[in-house]
Amino acid sequence: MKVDLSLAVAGPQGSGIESAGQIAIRAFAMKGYDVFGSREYHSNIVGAHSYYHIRVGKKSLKLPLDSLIALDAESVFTHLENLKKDALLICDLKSFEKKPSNIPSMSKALKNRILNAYGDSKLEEVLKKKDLRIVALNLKEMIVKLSDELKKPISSISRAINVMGLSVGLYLIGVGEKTIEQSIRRQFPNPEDNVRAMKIALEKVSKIERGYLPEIKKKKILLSGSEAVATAKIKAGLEFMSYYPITPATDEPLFIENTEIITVQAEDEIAAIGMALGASICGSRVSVSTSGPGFSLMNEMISFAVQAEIPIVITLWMRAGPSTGIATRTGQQDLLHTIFSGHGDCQKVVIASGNHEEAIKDVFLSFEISERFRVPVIHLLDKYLASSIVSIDSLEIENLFNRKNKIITKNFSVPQIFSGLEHDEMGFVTEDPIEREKMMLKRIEKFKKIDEFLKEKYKVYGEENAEVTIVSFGSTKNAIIDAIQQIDIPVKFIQIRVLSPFPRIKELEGKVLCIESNSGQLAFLLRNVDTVARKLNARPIYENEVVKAIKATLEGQKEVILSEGA
Amino acid sequence: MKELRTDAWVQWCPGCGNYGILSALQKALIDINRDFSIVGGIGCSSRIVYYLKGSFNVHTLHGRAIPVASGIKLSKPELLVIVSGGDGDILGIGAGHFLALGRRNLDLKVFIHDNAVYGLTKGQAGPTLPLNVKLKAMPYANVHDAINPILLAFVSGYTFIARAYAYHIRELKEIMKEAMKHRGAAVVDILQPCTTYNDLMTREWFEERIYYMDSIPDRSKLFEKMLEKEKIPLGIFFKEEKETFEERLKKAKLYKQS
Repeated sequence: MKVDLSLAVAGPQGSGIESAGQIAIRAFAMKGYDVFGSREYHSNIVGAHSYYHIRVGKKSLKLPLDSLIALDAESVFTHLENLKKDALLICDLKSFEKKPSNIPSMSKALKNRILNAYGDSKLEEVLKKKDLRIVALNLKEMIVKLSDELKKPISSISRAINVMGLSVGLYLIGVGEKTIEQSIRRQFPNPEDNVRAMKIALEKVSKIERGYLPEIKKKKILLSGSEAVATAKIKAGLEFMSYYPITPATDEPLFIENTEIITVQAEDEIAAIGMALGASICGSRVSVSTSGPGFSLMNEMISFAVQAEIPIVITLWMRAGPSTGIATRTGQQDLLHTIFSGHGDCQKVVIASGNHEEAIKDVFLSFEISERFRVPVIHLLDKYLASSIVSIDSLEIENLFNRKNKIITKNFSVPQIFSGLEHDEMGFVTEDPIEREKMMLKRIEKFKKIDEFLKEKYKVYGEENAEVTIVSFGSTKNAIIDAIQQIDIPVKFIQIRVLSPFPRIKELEGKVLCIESNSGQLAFLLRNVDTVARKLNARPIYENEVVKAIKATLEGQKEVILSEGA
Repeated sequence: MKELRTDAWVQWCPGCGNYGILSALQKALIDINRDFSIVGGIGCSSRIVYYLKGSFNVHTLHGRAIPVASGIKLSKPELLVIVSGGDGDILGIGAGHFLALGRRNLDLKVFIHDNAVYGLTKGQAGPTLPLNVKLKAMPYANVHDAINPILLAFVSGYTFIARAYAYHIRELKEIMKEAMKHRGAAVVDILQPCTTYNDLMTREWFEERIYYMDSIPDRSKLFEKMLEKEKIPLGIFFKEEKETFEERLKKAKLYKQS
């Protein structure tokens, strides 16, 4: 039996919803399933709507949802249009009374959409118009019971409602009580209250018909993108890391800060990269981590690193721009910014990873390229990868991280002085035309050598004699691979891994479809593209949207906007 | 003494205060006899990195010498790491880094070549040029007020603060050596005539005003000394033993592990 489930665990930020999502993801992994959980949240500490979008059986996301666990009315309203017919909805009985007009945290735009569709009606009335399997829990009654049993005031245990709702959801989907309990126990240092909460909740639904999920005997390890990259850097022998706090990059350096590796929180991103370059000059293996706005500040130092030939790996977790944009949402808008970063013929390497597994491999590759050729390498990732959790087979994990001895760095001669001014081989300043030309040619030749060295600049998936060739880069990978398996016409997928030096692609066949989360930057680079599918709403690209884009390409549409996601 | 000098041609204007600073620095480094690294920003003064043979000399970007030097020091703690830059470099474009270094008390030696003017771009007002002063290349008098580097260093947390004069090589050398011996962030504000563009703060102008303090001023007199304008006090203003950034980091990591 092939399991493929999409669900969301939703609620206000800071209410325990993140723990609930993680318990769910872990529970599926404990049953041996592939699982992928992406966290969507506002740039807010407490109160705004947030959710985990979880896929079981695959490692990409898909809409509509099979199940929604939504313990406040706003969460139900938010995901209402993303529910499949007959989807399972776990909600709070109390939410039934809520109207959009009395939910202050809900955005005006969403409120207006709901008012236009349903008027200012109670949730109960709105739900009557939908074909859903609704399990409304009397959470108030349950929390009072828990409070009585534990002899603790309600205010101190109110977060347990997340565990209650979640446990019911998991149980009805087909996860056994034992697995749910184990996952809860692994989530909290003192899990007893929450285990009790789960038991109270499950008593209420013991008679309801539930799904079935067979156990798979496979050991899975869970990793977020931030953890994957941080761990890879540690395993690769990182010696110095500096950063300035920025969403969504900071989880990664914070992970490293907890180790013995020298990690410095700098006064700004210019200082962060400046410090790392100083340490690199002394021979340390260094890295910095940032997002678009921070990368803007780092630009002058990227140019310096190219001129003075200083190795560094810059991990760029893209978020939605321009400017501050939406700090907590995803996008691929920094593609051109990275390729063309740095003034004055600043040739540097840009590598983009398609998923967590590739992100790990690319950390090792980035260090190798950077040190072998004494050049900055920009490792291009995004918020979607940073904050999503994925299951990886435990055997694969070892292979992924055990690559340090594969980093072969050439013992380059280093200059006597590291200079941002044009200089001779020893680092001394020169403005001589012949010497200048020689140094320009040296850098150009070096970039050609890098081009030759990087054998696999893109990967080809799918079928020969394709009617459509999809070209994309970065975190769209899993959704595209899952989508082309759904479709019965031959589709090929070219995933560009190295964006600078930009590859010459030979395998284009049929109609060319470019998929990306920006205004069309990759399509701009490729030029001969039949269809551009763009995601502009700062949410990830879903498998079903890729299917839609392929169909639109076959129909001859030039442009498609992918608009799904809450 | 010669072995510290590279064979690069020293390309400053005749009479430039930088010659005095280069000479004093060279002598101080010979006396101190430690492996060193000099990091410069951008400007006339920063060219000093090409003239002395350090282990890891870096000519980095305008204002960014302190971050790069910080990375060098953290990666090679045994090195004596010196930052050389003008007042524009360190107190103008790089002021944020100057402040952050004070907060960290990382063991760097910051030597400010302070001539109150942007020389290489031909005579614009530097951050230490007083309000209403018009130098010869400026279209009108300065509309910015001057930073007091000594005060700024103090409020930032520097644990060694001194002022010196570029043409007094012997005294400058001694102050530089004191800074080098100090454990922690040290700053020496080196007053320096720019013979080409600063037609106010000339050799004569400085030498009519400067005097040496007898000793490190008492805490109760410290602000008075730091604020003194008519006469310009030289020497060490402030010196304090405090945990360095390297020590703080080590301690924090050890604490974390236990």
